Amino acid sequence: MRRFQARSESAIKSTTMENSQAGEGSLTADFKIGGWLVQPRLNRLSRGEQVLQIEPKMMDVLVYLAHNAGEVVSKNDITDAVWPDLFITESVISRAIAGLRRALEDDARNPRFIETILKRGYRLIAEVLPAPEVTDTRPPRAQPTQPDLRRDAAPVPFVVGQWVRGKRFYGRAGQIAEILEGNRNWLWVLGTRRIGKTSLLKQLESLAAASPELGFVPLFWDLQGADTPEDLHADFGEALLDAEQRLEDAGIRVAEIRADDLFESLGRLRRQLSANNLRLLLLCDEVEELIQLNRKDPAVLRKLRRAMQSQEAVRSVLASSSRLWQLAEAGGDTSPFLDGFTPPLYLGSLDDDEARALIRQEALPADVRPEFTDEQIERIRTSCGNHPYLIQLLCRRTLDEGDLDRAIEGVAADRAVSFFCAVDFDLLGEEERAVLRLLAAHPGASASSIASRLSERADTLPASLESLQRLGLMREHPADAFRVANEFLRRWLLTEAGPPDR
Amino acid sequence: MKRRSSHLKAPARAGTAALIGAARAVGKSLTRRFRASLDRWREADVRGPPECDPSLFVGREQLIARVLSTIHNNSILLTGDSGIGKTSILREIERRLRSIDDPAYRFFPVYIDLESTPEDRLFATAGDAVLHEVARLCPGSARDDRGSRGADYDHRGLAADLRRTVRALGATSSKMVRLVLLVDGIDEVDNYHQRTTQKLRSLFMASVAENLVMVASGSEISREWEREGSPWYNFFEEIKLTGLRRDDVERLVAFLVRGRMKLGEGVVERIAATTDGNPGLIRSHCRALLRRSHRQGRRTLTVADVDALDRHHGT
Repeated sequence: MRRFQARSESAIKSTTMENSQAGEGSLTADFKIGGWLVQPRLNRLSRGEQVLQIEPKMMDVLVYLAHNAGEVVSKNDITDAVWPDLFITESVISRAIAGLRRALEDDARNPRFIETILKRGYRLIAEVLPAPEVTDTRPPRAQPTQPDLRRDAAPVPFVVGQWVRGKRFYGRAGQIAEILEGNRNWLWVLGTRRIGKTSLLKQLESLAAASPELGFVPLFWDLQGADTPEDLHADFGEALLDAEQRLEDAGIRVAEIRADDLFESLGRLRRQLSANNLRLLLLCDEVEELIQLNRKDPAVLRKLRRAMQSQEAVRSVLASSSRLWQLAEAGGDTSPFLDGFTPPLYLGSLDDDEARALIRQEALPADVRPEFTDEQIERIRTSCGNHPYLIQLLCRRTLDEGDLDRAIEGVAADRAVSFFCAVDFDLLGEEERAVLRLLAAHPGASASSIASRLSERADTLPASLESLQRLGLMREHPADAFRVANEFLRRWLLTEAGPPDR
Repeated sequence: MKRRSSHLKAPARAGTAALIGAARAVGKSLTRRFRASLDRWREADVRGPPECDPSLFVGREQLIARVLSTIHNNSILLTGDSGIGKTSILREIERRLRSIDDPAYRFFPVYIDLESTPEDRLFATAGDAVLHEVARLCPGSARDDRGSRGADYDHRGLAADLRRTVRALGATSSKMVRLVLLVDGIDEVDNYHQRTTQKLRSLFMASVAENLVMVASGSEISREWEREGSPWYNFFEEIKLTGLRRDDVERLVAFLVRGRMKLGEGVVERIAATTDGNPGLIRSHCRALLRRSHRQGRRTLTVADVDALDRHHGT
């Protein structure tokens, strides 16, 4: 008994010391009781593979009992320690004790952890030990030589399925400089699905708003779902509301901009900005919606083009996939909508250093960055072909799974990945599809080899190769050796896109 | 003296006998009532699902930990069969988020049940839930005006309410605000016009999306759309729910039958095998097993009981 008390006191002393050093008011260091690892900061009890989250107050009661291990503590003592500023009934403490017993699988009639002392209180009878330095109690993984990359408690820094900006945005310096500092006032950002078009627009919005010297007032206009002129107008009003504070800072009240007509609203906004020596940076996302709108009401598109290409105080940026080319081919108009917006600004994969920075999450504080080895970083980067969405998805899965190989298989089997491979493939021309099918089966093929296999298309092949590279679907490495840009698209092509000679 | 005494004893005896008789009758009646009550209790449904009784939530710790480490930056879709525990998990996440102490984020969970929600009530239902919950969690930040949103309340109305709410919540905390929409029955949107769904998705394109995340649950959500595909197809990190682990099945079964029946050898294994660890099925199995065994006057559940039940249900 004396030995138990001495060890318990030693464990608790070390705990107390840690806390006083940390400047915290309560015990928060990990400790062990009866085979359970107690992690007060995480409100967590774990034993082998079993992990339990318990209520914070329940944890506080356990920590208090552990601090007084072997001694009887009254309900008043517990109340003073855990609920110092509250009036609570004894049943609250009884419930907390019952919850702890349930979690620890203890039996009140035959206790191994918490003993009830009639008319007195409670006593922790289990031995309290300091937690081992390595607190991960999970069993070893299938490949023990690989470090376990999972981070149970820390937030995963990778963003999948949502736009990013600021510290979470990586790369694209060239495109950003061209849009914010170049001479073109009408730009079209063309990229495949999930390549980061919305994030680029959001980053431009953020940068322009934070850089008054550029003289832009950015407005992000999401055209998603706007297939009638009324919807288009309403969504523009929504964009104004979203930017209300920024517009007010520029001396413009949204109420004064609003009009019954979209083009009148746009005109008022341009004029007011111009009067303040400012320019509108109009950032239009999901511009493919205009294809539908053009079918219903071509006149709206003519007016929209004139408004976007006004010489007065506006720089217009469209973002879409290659489906928007349909507007360049739309008949019945001497000036198709895309005139002036072409050639497009292609948004392809990140360059190697940008991809590494994204994997390392270099913009975040060092203590929250993921821990990948250089070898793993290169493997992630090359598997994903520097595609930002795939990188974030694979990194996210790797942290979940704790194993890069399993994560790669998981991403390859992901229905969302298959889906956007299919969508991107469907948007390509016949020759581009044939090239990708061929490269999936014959990675590293040279231009002449591709040309000989696709002989009937040899004259247009250089343009197709260039387009595929710009879209980030194919890469040339080393010189004159072409391959599908990423492992997941290659696998999809082999299984879903038909034979190479089709 | 003797005669007088004898004369007085006769009525006393009769009174005593009457009292004893009455007491016996009352006793019998009470015993009958107590037994009937005990029978009703033993036959009664086992405790309801964990969304009604949080102490019944067992297992899923790795899943919950994964969700809680994800919602800082990503939305999640939980899919799985009926009874697998989607609603319970959402409710558990809601409970955890209310008490979580994140160094950088303050989470405001809002549970929204979309099941059987008519299309023209989609945004109003979401708006009502958000404003009600935020008014409850953070009085002064929002006005609980449930029911005031009509069919003309659309995605723009919801976006405006979300902007106001996030702004108000931001003023109450130095941490980054995360409004976590816990949307139950997200597959209901498959019954809506695709434009309506697209408008719901468009909320996540606006600036307020930096403070917004969704954890949705449903049996499935359609990704096959007329044109380029559902706007959800790449929005969620999808997690397919499977059955409980063996030790969690044991804990759940023990909770459900505690004090009513004893568990015979191998019963938990057989229940785990026949239900695939589906907690909803485990509950219904336990309910049927308790009734059956009680009617047979037995106090111990056996593997034969489970097998008989399976034969009866044709599983």
